[in-house]
Amino acid sequence: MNTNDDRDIEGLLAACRLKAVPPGLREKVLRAARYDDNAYLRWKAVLKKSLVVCPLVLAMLFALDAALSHSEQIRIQALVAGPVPIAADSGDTALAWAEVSGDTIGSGLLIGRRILLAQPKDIITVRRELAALIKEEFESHENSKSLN
Amino acid sequence: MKLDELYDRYGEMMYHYLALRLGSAQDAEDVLQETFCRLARITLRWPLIRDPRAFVFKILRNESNRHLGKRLRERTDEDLRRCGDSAPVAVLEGPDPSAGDAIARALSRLPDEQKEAIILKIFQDFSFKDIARICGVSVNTAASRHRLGIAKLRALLKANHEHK
Repeated sequence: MNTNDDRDIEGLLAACRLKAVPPGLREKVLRAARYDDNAYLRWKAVLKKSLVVCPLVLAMLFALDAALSHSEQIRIQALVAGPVPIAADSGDTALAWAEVSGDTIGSGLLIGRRILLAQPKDIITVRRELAALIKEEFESHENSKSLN
Repeated sequence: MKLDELYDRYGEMMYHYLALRLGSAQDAEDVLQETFCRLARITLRWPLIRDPRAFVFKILRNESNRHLGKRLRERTDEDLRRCGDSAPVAVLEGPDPSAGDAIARALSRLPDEQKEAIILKIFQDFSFKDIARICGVSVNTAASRHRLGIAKLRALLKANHEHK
């Protein structure tokens, strides 16, 4: 490669002058940049505000959710784990259960539930009721067999 | 640094770089506008920048690369057929009237990296160290691109002269 030729070419290029920029380009470019800058600043302000507001909204939602869950929990506990009324008449209890749970409850299932949910002091009463029910069922079964 | 000050310092240099590299006055104006929009957003970081001119040209280069990529993706078959025939934007005034156009035409036919190295070195007066920093290459690579570009440019101008 000829170094002198390279220098000639570089000299030729350096001898070239660059033409002036189109008139009005400065204003056009700066106007667009300022407009964009203002839009960016507006967005920045909105983002800063949302940075403050969003955590507050989230905290409020969590607090509301916790409060609702707590009251829901209390209602569920009152329905399920609360003191179960040991009605003398099992029909009343069945009606009461059917009302809260929407079930159709047989007397065996009802007593089973009552055993599960009963307070320790009432367990003997419930077991007696269960024994009476089993005896009753057994006798009715025997009767039907003898009739047959 | 304010936008006005920035434009007064580097605006014309940036336009010439873009016009020579992209070969279109309209594209140069668009990319210059986009670059200033980008620069407007980083005004607060100016005190941290050691060499503002190299920094501005780095951003300018990224914007023009983005524009070239977009142009490449959007070009049609017709554009491909016309490729090489279109005259580059007339931003150069040579020692004689036809020389400027001939140089601009030869410059537009160089590979992009070599053309960029020549524009930055000869028309923008950057050192190879600055060119290397702007283009994200080593100093040797920047110098080699410039050297190869000059050799190719010489060959193109010679061929053009012989053709006449």
